[in-house]
Amino acid sequence: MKAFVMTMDAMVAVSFMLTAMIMLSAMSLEPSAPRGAYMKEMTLDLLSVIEKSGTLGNLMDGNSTGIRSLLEATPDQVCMSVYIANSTGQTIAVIPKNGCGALGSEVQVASRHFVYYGQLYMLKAESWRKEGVG
Amino acid sequence: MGTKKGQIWSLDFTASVVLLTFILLFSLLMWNSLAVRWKTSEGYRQMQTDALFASDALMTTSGRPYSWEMRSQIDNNVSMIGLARTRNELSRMKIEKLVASNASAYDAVKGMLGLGRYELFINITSIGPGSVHYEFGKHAGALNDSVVYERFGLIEGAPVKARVEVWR
Repeated sequence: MKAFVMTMDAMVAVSFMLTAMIMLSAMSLEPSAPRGAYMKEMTLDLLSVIEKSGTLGNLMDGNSTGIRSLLEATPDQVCMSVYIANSTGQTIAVIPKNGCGALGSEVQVASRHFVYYGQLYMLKAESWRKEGVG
Repeated sequence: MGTKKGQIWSLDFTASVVLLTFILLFSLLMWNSLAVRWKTSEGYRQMQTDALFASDALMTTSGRPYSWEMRSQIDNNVSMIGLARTRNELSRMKIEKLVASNASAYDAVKGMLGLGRYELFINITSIGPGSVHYEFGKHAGALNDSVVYERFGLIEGAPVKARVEVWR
């Protein structure tokens, strides 16, 4: 009986060990991209291009075509939104990328200020990773 | 009776040795497989970081010396490669010099971007209307490990997209 109990004990220990090893082996070792850093750089790129290409002036004049084509040119797995706020902090324009829902869990934000006809405004961009893509 | 007891011990011993050998072999194989996967994963992560730094250098810096594109060739006197005049504002002359040096300075350019261990492909195209199309480097095959970063820039005020692909 004693021998049987010891065998059971050993079997349980071996099963535990095998299970642990199988679980470890099946564990996902997918490399995590430096996503935060890349998204931040993309957001800064976008603001820079909006500012230097004249797209910002067009947006302030009511033409958002340029910004929309920039947003649509971002990779599929990236969601972005561009905001313009006035000096009181009130948002006066929001241009989201098509097909993007609510903000994701890790949002990168960048902003800069500009003056338009003597008024101070803020240009802000937010980016996050689209759920379930890539 | 004594002989029978001996046989039971023997069977018991054989069974335990077989089981132990199986467990040891299984553990060794499993450990080896995990070590290979960890190493591959770490290598891929490093490639991602190197590719991001390279894309940043191209899109936000001018290179060193500043007017490296005016030299007859990209040689040891050029220590850094960058395509920008200011952040994201790309110089057409720098891009054209880079593209023209594809055959003669591909390895040197990779080295300057910190990508000596990998292969590199850069593609710059217009966003929206425009006919900008520049390519530098070597295309990745379908089976290669690759990292792609897409960045925005401007050439003479017109938005462009730069696709930087690093692969091995």
